[in-house]
Amino acid sequence: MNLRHMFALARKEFYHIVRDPGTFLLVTVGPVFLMIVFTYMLTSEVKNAPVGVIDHAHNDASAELIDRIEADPVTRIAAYYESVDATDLDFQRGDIVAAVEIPENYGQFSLLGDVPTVHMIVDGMEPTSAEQVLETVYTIADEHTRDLAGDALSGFGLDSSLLDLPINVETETLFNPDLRSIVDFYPGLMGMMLTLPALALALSLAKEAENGTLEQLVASPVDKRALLAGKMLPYLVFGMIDVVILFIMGQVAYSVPFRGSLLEYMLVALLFNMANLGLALLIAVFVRSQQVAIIVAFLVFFVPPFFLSGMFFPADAMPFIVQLEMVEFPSMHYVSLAKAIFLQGTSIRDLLFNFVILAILGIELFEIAAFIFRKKIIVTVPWRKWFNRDEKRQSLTQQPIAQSRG
Amino acid sequence: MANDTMIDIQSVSRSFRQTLAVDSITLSIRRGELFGIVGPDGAGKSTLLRMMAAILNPTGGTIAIAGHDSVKDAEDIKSIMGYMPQGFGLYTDLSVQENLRFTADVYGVTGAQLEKRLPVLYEFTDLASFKDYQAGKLSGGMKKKLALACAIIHEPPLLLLDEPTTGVDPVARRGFWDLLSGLHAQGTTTVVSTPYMDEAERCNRVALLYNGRVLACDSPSAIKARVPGAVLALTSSDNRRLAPLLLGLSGVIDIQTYGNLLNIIVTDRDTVRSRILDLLDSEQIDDYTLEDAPMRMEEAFIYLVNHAEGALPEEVAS
Amino acid sequence: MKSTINRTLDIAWKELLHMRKDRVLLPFLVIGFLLELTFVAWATSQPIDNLNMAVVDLDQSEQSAALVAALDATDTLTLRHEVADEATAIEAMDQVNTVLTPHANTILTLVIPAGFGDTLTSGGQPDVRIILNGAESVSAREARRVAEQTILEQGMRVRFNMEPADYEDQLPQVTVKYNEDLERSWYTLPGEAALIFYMVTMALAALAISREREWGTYEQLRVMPFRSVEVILGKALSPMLVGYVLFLSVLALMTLVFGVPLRGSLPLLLIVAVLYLLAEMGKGVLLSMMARTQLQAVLLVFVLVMVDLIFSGYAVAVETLPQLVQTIANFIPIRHWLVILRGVMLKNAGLDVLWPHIVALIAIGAVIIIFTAWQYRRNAS
Repeated sequence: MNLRHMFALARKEFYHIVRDPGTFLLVTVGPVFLMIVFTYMLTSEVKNAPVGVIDHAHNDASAELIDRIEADPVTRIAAYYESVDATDLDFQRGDIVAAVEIPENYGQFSLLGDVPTVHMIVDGMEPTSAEQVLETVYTIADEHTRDLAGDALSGFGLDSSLLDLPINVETETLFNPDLRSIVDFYPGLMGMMLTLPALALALSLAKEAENGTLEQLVASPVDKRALLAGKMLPYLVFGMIDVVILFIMGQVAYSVPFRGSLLEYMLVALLFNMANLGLALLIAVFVRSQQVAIIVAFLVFFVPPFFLSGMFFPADAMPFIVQLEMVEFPSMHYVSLAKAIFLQGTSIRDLLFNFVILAILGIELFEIAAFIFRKKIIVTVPWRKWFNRDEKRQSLTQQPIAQSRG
Repeated sequence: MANDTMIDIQSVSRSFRQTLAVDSITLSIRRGELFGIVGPDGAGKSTLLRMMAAILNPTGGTIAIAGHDSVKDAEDIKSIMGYMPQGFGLYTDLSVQENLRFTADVYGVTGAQLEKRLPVLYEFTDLASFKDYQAGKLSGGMKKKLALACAIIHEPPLLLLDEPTTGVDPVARRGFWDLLSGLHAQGTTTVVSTPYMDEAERCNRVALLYNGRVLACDSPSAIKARVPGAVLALTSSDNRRLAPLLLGLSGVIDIQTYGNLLNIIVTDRDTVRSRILDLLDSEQIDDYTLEDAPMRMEEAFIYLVNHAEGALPEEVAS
Repeated sequence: MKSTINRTLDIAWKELLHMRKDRVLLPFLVIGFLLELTFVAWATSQPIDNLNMAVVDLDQSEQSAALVAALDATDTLTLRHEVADEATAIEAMDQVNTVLTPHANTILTLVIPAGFGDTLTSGGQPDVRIILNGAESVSAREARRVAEQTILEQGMRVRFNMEPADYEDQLPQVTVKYNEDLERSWYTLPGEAALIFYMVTMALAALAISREREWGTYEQLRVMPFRSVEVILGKALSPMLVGYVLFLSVLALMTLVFGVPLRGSLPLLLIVAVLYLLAEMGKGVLLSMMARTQLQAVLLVFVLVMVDLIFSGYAVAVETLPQLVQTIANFIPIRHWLVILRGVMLKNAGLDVLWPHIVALIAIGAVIIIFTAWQYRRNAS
């Protein structure tokens, strides 16, 4: 590879990046902005979910239960109804996400073991928040019933420890004590953010093809691998700057623990960056139009890694064939490595398989792109001249010919 | 192949899906020539030039540039050639100087060699005072000059220019051609495509391209000499009415309108002239001038096109 | 003189010709996105199960073995290792499995202390410990939920000889509506579908004018005798067509292949989809006019999509977001569209319920298109 060519290309590309505000923002502020959006989405917990009440009891016990539901930060009481049927319309509108029906004899216990319990209805459309609301209301109702039952037992002169859980469970959580999802998503998300420099690279090459500057380049004796490497280099640098910024942001703003070796993590990030950019080049070499490049890049970079790399949904739970598919995506290996290094302090040595694959992808994707890339031009039917067409037809030489035929 | 041949094109064709853009062209361009490829849009000029520049492979035939095959030895060709694509192939967000230095790096012009070369190019193209301008902010003519400067930065023995003056004002066009003449004088083999017939006159030889074929390849004067007949220039008060009537006269091959001037191409000067005079008489037009005019490339080209298509009026064809 | 409709169609036709240039584009869009959706559907509809469990059984009694068996019998947990002591167990949780499934490490370790069985049978309250792998918070949470419930049931069984059915009526009764099995894919698929065709169509529309600007044909377009609304609608029409075709295929895929129910009125959905697309297209063209280059247009689309993601209810139900966010969300077309789409599909909601969202969609769309037209005209002066 001709290094002088590579650095010439890299310098030129650097100018492009810093002189176009769009690209510059895309590779600098973009990842940070995107990270804030994602973390916001991930950390947004259900608050003040509207709950409807069908109170058949109208007694102190039911009033106390309603108060507890109202007081919980997850839920609030939104409306009262006479019957379960009456809630239908509000459920459909989404005005309430849960309803609690309190039976007439709520709070009245008999020695025969009659325990009047509430009936709750939950809108299951959105399972994640439905589960949260369900769990919250269920726990409130269950505890309230226990409290009432305890009081009733004392009233009967019995020991309320009868109501204790048969087995006491203590829970300890490693690596991420509060089970904050942000902690285990953050290392993976950092990798996702590197999509943006890759997107910018794919666009940049497509732009050269569209603007005709690629024609000038392919007609020059520039070494084709130097051409691609030179275009890639500035994005790699900006990508690594992004990694550093996001790393600091994670430590400071989100208190994500980091237990491994920083050097090792940076190496992993570098390889992942290279693999990502190699993929971007591959896309750009295939499709020499910005519009198509955008869509392909979105498909390849964004959707599969996001959903399938095991970041949000554990990879184990996926069908084997999907897992196999994912082996080819660098993001999967990045996520495994990054999470292990961040949270578990694992060394690369223990994750050699993923590391080797990532390293191979980092180099190989670029090589494939370089192999496919031809220093030729691709001629497409120039639809872009649609508007100019009639005008051009009237150039000096054409006019007389048209006349003589007419 | 003779030693003084720079470009040897042997029955080269190129098709894009169903369209045949270049149809079995054979041409030979000598070292040191200023060679014009002339033809209207869509004639196949750019396709031919791109194949010469080794960035597009022919679908048939071979091209040899200084003995290098354009398919097998594409990269060898690229280093001995300067190429200017039809569109502006340089970076609009880079300054004049940055564009030049980038190109220099790519072509391996570095260090002292470059520092010596830059002032020469600035001087040559008059771009010195604009060297810190962003290329995108230059005028059309200056962009072309910059592109030319980039194309010749490594002093290539061969220069391929694809419609370098399209979209440039007449003064800048003339200036640009003066630069090309200068390069030609230094011995650079230059191949230039153009849709403008007046530019063709400045070439050593031209190939007239039409529908992917070479209609003629010769010096401008020889091409003009091929056209029988003459040109008559008519000015009158009522050209608009006259034009179709004139076209109907036998012996009139074509009419071109330039404002209130009609250039009438005729088969035989004397007989047709009298027919025209008769027509003017019968149409009761008396404020006219009818003079002989020189045959130009434009008229010659049109004649050749019509002739090649067999579209001439019957009596002329026979 | 041509009519407005004619001229609008002229522009739309030209845009379709542009699309023909990118011959990969259309088949790619349709096949690519359907494939994408299939992948996402497949992946997200998988229950979280077979999570790896390790056990440190210091009691080695009949009761502890029964507890382990009960946990192993759940779909969620699978016993993989029996470890001698707690230190080894924690060390084992540090190990990451490096074969094909890198996440196949231990999610939960159960520690049963000595004396567990005796305490339980003698009527006391024994302790057990569960150790969770917080590096997989989603799996860990699920594992904890299932473990706690199973331990409770097992305790009731041993101590009171009661099966869950025996005390069921003493616990709160739960009915889940609309998505009875809490299928995650029933929620994510409509969202994903909306997002996909929203992004494609908006990206195409956003590039429509910036592309002309880059090609230098924008001025030409402006001097042609088109009215501003004609240009905007014309520009939007072909992306809309693509979007609509995509929408239909995605709808078919969701209902026929992935079993998301379509309980409401299909015609209603098909009509409202057009309204929704109009609003998004207007947005796309507006962005397109603001951008100087195609790259900037893409950037703007990107930012907007990200913002929309927060407010739209794509991932999290809007009702559960802070009040301020909910208020802002009302001005975002995709938020209303998702309510309508999911409402019709899952809740069998009709016009009587959804009309405010449909009205909002029309209002937002109209405002966007009028504003865009005004902006286009203003650019001229």
